[in-house]
Amino acid sequence: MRIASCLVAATAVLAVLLTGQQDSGKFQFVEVSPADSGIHWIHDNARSDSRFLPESLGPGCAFLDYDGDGWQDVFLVNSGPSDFYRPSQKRRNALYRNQGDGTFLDVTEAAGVEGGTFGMGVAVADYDNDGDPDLLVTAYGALKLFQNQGDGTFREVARRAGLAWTGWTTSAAWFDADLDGDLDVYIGSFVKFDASMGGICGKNGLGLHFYCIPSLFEPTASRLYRNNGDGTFSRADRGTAIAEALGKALGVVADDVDGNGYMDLFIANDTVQNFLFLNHGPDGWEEVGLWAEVAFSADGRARSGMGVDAADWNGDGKSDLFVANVDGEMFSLYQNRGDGTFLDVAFPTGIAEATRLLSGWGLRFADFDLDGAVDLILANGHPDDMIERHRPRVTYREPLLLFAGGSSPRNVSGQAGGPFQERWPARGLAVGDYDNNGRLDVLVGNNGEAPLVLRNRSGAGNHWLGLELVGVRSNRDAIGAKVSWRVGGKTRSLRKVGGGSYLSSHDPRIIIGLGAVTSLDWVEIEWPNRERTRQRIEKPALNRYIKVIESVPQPVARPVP
Amino acid sequence: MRIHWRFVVLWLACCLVATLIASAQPAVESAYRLHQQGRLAEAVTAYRQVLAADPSLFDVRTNLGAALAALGRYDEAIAEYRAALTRAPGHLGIRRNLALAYAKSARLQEAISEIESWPEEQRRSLDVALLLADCYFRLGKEARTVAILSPHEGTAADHPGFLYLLGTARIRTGDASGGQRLVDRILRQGDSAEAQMIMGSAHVMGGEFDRAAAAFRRAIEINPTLPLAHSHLGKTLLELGDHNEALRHFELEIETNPTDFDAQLLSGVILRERQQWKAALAALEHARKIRPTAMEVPYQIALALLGAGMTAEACRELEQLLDAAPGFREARVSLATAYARLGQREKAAEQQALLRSRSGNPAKPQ
Repeated sequence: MRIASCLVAATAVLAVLLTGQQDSGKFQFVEVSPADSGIHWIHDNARSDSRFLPESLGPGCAFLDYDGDGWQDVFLVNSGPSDFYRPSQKRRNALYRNQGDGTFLDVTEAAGVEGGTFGMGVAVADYDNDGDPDLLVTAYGALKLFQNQGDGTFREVARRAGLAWTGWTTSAAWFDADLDGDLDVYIGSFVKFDASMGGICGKNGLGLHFYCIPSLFEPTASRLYRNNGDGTFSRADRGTAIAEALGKALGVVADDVDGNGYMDLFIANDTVQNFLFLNHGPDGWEEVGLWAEVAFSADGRARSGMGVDAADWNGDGKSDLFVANVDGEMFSLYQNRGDGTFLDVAFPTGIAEATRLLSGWGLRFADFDLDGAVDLILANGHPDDMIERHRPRVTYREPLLLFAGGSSPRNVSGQAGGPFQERWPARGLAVGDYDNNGRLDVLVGNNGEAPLVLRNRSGAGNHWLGLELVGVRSNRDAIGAKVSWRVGGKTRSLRKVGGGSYLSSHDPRIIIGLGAVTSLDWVEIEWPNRERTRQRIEKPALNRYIKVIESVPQPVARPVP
Repeated sequence: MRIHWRFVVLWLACCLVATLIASAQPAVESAYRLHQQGRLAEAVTAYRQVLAADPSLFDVRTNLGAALAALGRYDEAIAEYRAALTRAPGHLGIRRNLALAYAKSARLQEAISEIESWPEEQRRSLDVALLLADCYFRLGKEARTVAILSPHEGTAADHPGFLYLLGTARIRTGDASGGQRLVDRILRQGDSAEAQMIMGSAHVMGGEFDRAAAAFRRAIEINPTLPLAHSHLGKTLLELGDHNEALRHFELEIETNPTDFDAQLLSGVILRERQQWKAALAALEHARKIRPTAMEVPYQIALALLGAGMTAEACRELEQLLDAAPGFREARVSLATAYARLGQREKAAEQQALLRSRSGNPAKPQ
């Protein structure tokens, strides 16, 4: 018995060593056609000769299980009527119900989430802690809050909830800023814009109007809303560094970058410096982007930040940050030094060179091949549809990129399957396991086109564990929870961040990739409450999702379909 | 392109012949023979042995300077020429060699001062005018280049180097038609490296970077050592996003033309981006030597110092730079970062406040 245990442990150690070193070469994504998925919705970007800027920025998209059946559904954001656009036909968002057989059914009208505004993005969370996900749809115009009624329908409650805001909102992040057990929300605001500002940028050498560079427009203040716990929200940014910081927010992610237990906010701004708001809990917010060296490029320039994410990329226990920028600026991978500052390692990791001619939007750190290392997917596309007619080697449609994680990240886009060899006008990107096989699939919102659904066939044979965290004292979605696990004498961890990507929302479940490892010593959840209570699960069964309810000792296993 | 180098060789030969005539000493003859055979290091040693015995032989010292210059040891050559001039004040051959050594070692302002101190009649020749005009061109003072070369337009009609330099300078100073007339003369002479350079430059101005790169590559094919050809190709490749190839061509330019400002600066920038701090700083210091007043250079040096962890040195560079150019926003961002790294929070906050106060309102739509 003892010999057998030792043998198992030794095998596990060996497997970890092997998975840490081997070039898995197992990335494989396959495009799922509309005919196969049943997703026939097409984004309307409202493109006009005047080239109004909002036309170029959408759409966002999301994975969510709106009906609680264990299958990830899909939500897609559309444009709609605005002060510069009067669509001849009704434009609507789309909610597709996952039928569990690889196909989706359009349930938008029945669910009541059509929209009726010029939508931009979507942030999904259970803000009312009732066990089902709600939808915050940002917009050029009035944002919408769709409260899930638990019966397959939603009710629009933005005004009643105190979130009525007509401006130009973009990405939003749900997180529990004050650790009171319910989700607050940061809503990014872009620039001051109205219909009179269309057609003002022109002649690009072709005698045509083009989309203005956002530096021409005035910055705005984003907002933080505190959840009152009764279905309503109050402004929590007034008098804080958040209200003082005028930016042009396009991407937002919430993570505890300084490890003080409170979720901080990292904001990607377009043409002005990025913001890093440190959350000091009762002592308020502090903007430290410049000190932390994430505000500007290494040569002191503000870049065109769009998509963001946060994760412990290199496994050193600290949260790193990523920002996608516009072509010529290169993307940034900010490695957390652990002293309150970050180092942009995009050049030594090869990310800078690979992204030199690209403009990045949606993105996500995740373990796509289940080998235990954090990979990175990037959705790209230039905002100017005429760019290739007046700038060399920069194209409107751009390729997706995939970097394999590990001690030395590798650009594996060339080996990741057909969709990575094509070009897309990509914007939003959401990651989720829609077929419940443990492999994270990808949904990309394309500007003015049909969305792209990628089925992940990477990492065949690798083991995994999926976690569905349910907060009780903590916020129900457990956003901010830290998950640690021990295998082969090593402990790894990740945090469930809020927001991230661009205008989009991911599958809320957590996937731990294990490679060839066949058993875990334990998994521990550090819940996002003021006491940071911990809950450990010893030797969980693998290759399945388990539901972990805060303070309930035994997880409820969900069988793999 | 720059024909004056050929004239310099002639000047050197004159010096050597003069030396041979002036001295029948076997040691001098032996040194000269080594020099002629291209055994430059040995010639340097031999010349120095002669001078150790008789330091007053200014002609031997001039030859020593020429041998050192041929070895690329310009600072030593300059010292020898200056020493020779103390024995033979006003000697035109030595002064020409000195001016050339200044130019070759990127001490462009000293080269200009030297030439402009000569009597008017000694500055009238085409070769001297080309050297002087080229120095100004490299300093980015194209209007002076035009002023110096224009009087020679009637007599240098078939000189491609002259036509290219004057033509390019005219185009850069806004006289596109005047520049184009000279350029057309080169083009009428058939396919030449200079003609390809001109066509490449025209494509760059038209934003046709692929075609520009092809023209510059053809220029290099015709004349691999044509000054600025690799530099132009490198800059074009930067526009095309190919920084690896751009760096390679900047390095090739520097091999034959170390005084090219753009090649030194841009290779320094690329090396800095790649975190090759030592190499970046070396290239950037070369660029500073070429154009001591160019603001971008100390800024890039400061960034490389910051990257290399030499924060205090970076601070000094940035403080000096901001004294001269208080509106240099990116430099102020970097200075704030540097202060923060040094733990000087108050100074950093001061810079941040200045950044806020100087940011102003965004530009109004055009």
